[in-house]
Amino acid sequence: MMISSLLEPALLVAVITVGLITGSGSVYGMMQTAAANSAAVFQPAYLLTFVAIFIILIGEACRIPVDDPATHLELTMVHEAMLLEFSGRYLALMELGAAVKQLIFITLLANLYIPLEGLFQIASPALALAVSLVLYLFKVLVITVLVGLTEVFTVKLRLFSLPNLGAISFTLAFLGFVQHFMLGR
Amino acid sequence: MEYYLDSLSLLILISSFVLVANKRINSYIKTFRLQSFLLVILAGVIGVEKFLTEGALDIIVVCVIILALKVIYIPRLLKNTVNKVEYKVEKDFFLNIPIGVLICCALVMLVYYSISSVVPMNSGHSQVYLVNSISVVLIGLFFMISRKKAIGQIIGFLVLENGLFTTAMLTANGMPVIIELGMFIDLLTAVMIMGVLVFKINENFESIDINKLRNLRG
Repeated sequence: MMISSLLEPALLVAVITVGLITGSGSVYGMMQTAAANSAAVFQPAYLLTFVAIFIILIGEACRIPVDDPATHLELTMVHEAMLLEFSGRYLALMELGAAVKQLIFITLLANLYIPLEGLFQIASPALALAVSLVLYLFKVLVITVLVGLTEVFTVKLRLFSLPNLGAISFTLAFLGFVQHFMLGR
Repeated sequence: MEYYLDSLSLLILISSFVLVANKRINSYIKTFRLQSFLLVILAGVIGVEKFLTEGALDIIVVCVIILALKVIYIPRLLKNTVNKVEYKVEKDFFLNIPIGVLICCALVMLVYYSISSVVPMNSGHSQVYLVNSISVVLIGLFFMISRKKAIGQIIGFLVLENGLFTTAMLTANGMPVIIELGMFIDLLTAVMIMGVLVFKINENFESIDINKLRNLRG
């Protein structure tokens, strides 16, 4: 919870920036605009907010630079400490909740920043659904590989270093906002 | 094409933010190497483009020199210096890191403000380039004054020079080769002399903390 609250401002600024660029308040609208114009994701504001949301994803999903999900030491627990008093199906529910949260952030990143749908023009609805499902799984795989690489190449930070991550994430999102605001693109 | 150059200049800016957020000398060196590598890619893209349009090889030559100097030689030199001086990890900065990062954000705002009073905004890509690369110069300067250890200041100087190079590369497609070569040789000598100075400071004061350089010794 504490980590989430540290990362909250960055998330707000990042998503609002993407909303301003695409001119839509709903995630679906943002996705559609990105899919219609795939080259647009290379513009600076997108890049900045991508890095910002990626840091937020790692924080919210309790991955290694922020929190070690496989820890057995009570001293290093952040997310696990909440689960200590649960067992059986309650523990399963808590784990499911964490997994769903992680998938939501991964989906946000995958759909906003990897628009591959525009490459395929398929008439039949069933085939289109199948193709987009495969595409979605592929995009989730790409993001999870990125997360995994981050886990491999970094070590767990001290709890008191986490505000640094929050500050970087917020700064990048804010710079993206300013870049969009000043340059209009 | 322009979007890629936009993004590259932005990645250089992001890497300097990462540098400000770093705590250890070894990760300064790693981040500096990463930034120089991005610079090599930038110079390579512009150089190939210029070669295809005008048939001039000069920027590709500069690109190879940066690769040899800034990605391979200078980081190794600095790493050797650090290994020989060998001091423990301790607090190395005057301001804590979140405040440093936010100050850098404010510096970028300042650059936006001052650039927009010189040339109007949204009149082409060069504004983005100008803002990003001048921000790198200012962040390098801020990095120099916010660190206590002499190595951090060398890295700040190098990042500052990276920013200057990026500015020249993106706004004017690079300076004449002879000037670039002169700058590189200057840089190389500067870094070598600074490395030797770090040794001497360490020898005399048993630390490279510049806070201790207050007394004159005859």
